[in-house]
Amino acid sequence: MNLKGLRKQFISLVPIWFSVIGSVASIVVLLDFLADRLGISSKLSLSLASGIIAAAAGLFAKQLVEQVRRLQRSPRVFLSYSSTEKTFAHEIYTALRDAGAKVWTGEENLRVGESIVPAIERAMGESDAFLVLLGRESNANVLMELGMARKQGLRIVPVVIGEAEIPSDLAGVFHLKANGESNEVIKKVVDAIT
Amino acid sequence: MTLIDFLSSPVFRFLLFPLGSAVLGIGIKYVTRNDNYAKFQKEDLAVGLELLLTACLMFLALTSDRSLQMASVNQDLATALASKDVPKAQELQIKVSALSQELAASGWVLLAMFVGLWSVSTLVRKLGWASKDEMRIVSGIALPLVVGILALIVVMAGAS
Repeated sequence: MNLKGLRKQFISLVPIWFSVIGSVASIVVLLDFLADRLGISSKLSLSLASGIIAAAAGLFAKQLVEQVRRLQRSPRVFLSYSSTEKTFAHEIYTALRDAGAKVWTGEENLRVGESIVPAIERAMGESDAFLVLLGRESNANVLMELGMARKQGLRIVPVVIGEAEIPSDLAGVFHLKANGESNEVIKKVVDAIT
Repeated sequence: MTLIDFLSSPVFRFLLFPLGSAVLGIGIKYVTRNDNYAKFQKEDLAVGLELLLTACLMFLALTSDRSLQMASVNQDLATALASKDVPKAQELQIKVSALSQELAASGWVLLAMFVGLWSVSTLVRKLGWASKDEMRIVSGIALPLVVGILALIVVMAGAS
């Protein structure tokens, strides 16, 4: 995982940090008010509030450590496929995510009206590998993404589906063939990426 | 305690009534669902934020009631002082003091509730969803429910 990606991940955690702090503060104020109304001693309510804050801080620290560990070891994958391979792509996507990888797909991340090329370039810049599903019918977008991945020097993992032909510029790249049991192929893809 | 006493008590008005409304809401959601998907889902129980919002609005209404009550007591106090009715003035002075203390705390409680509403809804959005339409039990359903019920108890305690 590169430093830029790590920083982006930490920035994305900021709203969660603020929300946790806000929730704890809110619960503590409400409990304090309740203790005051019910005539519970201030010492007891202070101990209760300290306990809640300590528990929240502990849980949060634990989650943060886990997140950092996960980020350090989880590969980021750019998944490229055409709509004809959507079902197979979704199976691979789920398997990779379950294995701890961060998977980027245009279907999930691109918004209608958004300029495709800068978004893809940005996503590729943060990816460790480019996983491409090559179907029988060649797709202009997939080929464009393949060209961009080669240009960026990304590690390319091609999966050839059925009797599809490999593009000439991938001739020297070892590829996986998906023409049998899909679970077997998915396992090989996960092993190759993670 | 008579039925009227119970129905007008803060426990009913500020805790049981909103909780009952939430439970009825869950029931209505369930019975009006398309027969093909009529199974009860854990997502139906995700009413914590609605309870929290209800608690915020009830506390706001309670605070404005208290303000009106304070204005009225102040007027009575002025009258008692003008007529030099010292025992009544002392009694009203104690009431004013108690109401002022409650109003002073109300602002902070309201702030805490709105901050809670914002932060819990952000947590649900960021951490509460396991997939597009499946919620996580702890961060998506239980946490807002606990905070919502706590807020209702606070409102009930504030009203009693």
